[in-house]
Amino acid sequence: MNCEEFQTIVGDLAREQIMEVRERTKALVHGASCVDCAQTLADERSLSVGLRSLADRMKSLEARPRVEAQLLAAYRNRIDFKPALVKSHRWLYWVGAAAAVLLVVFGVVAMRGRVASPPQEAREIVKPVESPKAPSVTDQSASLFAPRDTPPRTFSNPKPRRMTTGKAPSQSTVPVVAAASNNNEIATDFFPVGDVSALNLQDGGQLVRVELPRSALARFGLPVNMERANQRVKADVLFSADGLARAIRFVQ
Amino acid sequence: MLAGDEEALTTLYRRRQGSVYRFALQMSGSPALAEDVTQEVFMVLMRDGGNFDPARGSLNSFLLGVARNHVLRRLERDRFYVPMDDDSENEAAANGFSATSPFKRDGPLDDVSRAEMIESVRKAVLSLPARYREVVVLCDLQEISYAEAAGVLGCAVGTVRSRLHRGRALLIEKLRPAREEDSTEADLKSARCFA
Repeated sequence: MNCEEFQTIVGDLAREQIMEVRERTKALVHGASCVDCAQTLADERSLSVGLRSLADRMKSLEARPRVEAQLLAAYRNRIDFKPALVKSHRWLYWVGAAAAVLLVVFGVVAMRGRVASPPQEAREIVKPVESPKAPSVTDQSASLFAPRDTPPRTFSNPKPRRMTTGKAPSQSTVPVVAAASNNNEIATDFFPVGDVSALNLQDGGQLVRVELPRSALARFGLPVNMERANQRVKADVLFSADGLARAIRFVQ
Repeated sequence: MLAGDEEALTTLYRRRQGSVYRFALQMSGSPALAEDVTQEVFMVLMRDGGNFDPARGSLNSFLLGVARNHVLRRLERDRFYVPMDDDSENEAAANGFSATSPFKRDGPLDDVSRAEMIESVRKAVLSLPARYREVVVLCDLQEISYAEAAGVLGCAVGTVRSRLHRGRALLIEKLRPAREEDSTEADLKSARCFA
């Protein structure tokens, strides 16, 4: 056995722990032949003696009787109060359960309310409409500002728009977003702006209220009172999902 | 006991409190703290005794583990406070835990050196870092096995062995100057006698 191996078991040796007889004999032989290891063993044994003496000296020490008395008093109080504690806990559980049920009910009601009556500004009604190449406005003077609750008009009369740019919508169905506003507002039909196709608008879009110069009416073939040409007129612009303006209608 | 049998609690307390109290005392050196910890340990047993699983270790290990946690928490909390020597000495004397009082009763003068040796060992143990102190206390003072100590500390047996080895080496280093001083004093005294 070398010194390093001796160091690993010198503690057990000094503490008289159970170990193999052969290993113990080797360690003692090494300790007898090596001065440093012999000193280490002596130190460890002295320490063990000191620790054992300390342990023996403290073996009889115990907590004072008042600790036991306090503990038993606490134990009795605990037993006495146990039913009350359980009761109060049950009460809390019931309150918690009721709160959870109410939360769920309110959540469901709120969800249903939101589905049933979405905010008017956000309401989007997508209706497939037969879309000719360009929407026409029949009886423009009469129906320019038709009441909102009138059924949405169809783009049935293909009439090229004078001021529109890009291709006119194809014959396929085009989702038209009806206005969502107060009942006392009246609005025109939607006029296509730019490249309007079913592909662009099939996912619906976003309706944005803007104000334009009244002269803009002329760009969509609507009559303009030149005396009021400088005044502004409200319009709803329909933006498709790609962010481009696809249609416009005028509101009064 | 958990079912409300006070007699069972009393029996259990009287059988186990000594071990818990001594462990807390050896870890902290404060009888007052040791009593508080002892009380807290059994309060925990009353409250959460259902958590004790015999398959995971003995009841003694469980109690010592709880005591260890409380002691370390208290020592951490109290480390900024300086103990008042008078009070602690009085409490120690009341508990019979004093370096001198037990040996004064014994009488023989040669026991004084033994008492001094024990006191120096006690102080050296208390001066160890907590992670070494707890292993020395468990294995050398409480005399429990490595495996049981590992269960108390929640670590591997190898960790217990290595910490014990290191802790004892530190103790030897701390006690060596005292021993050398003692031997020097003894030499001086004998020289005077011969002179």
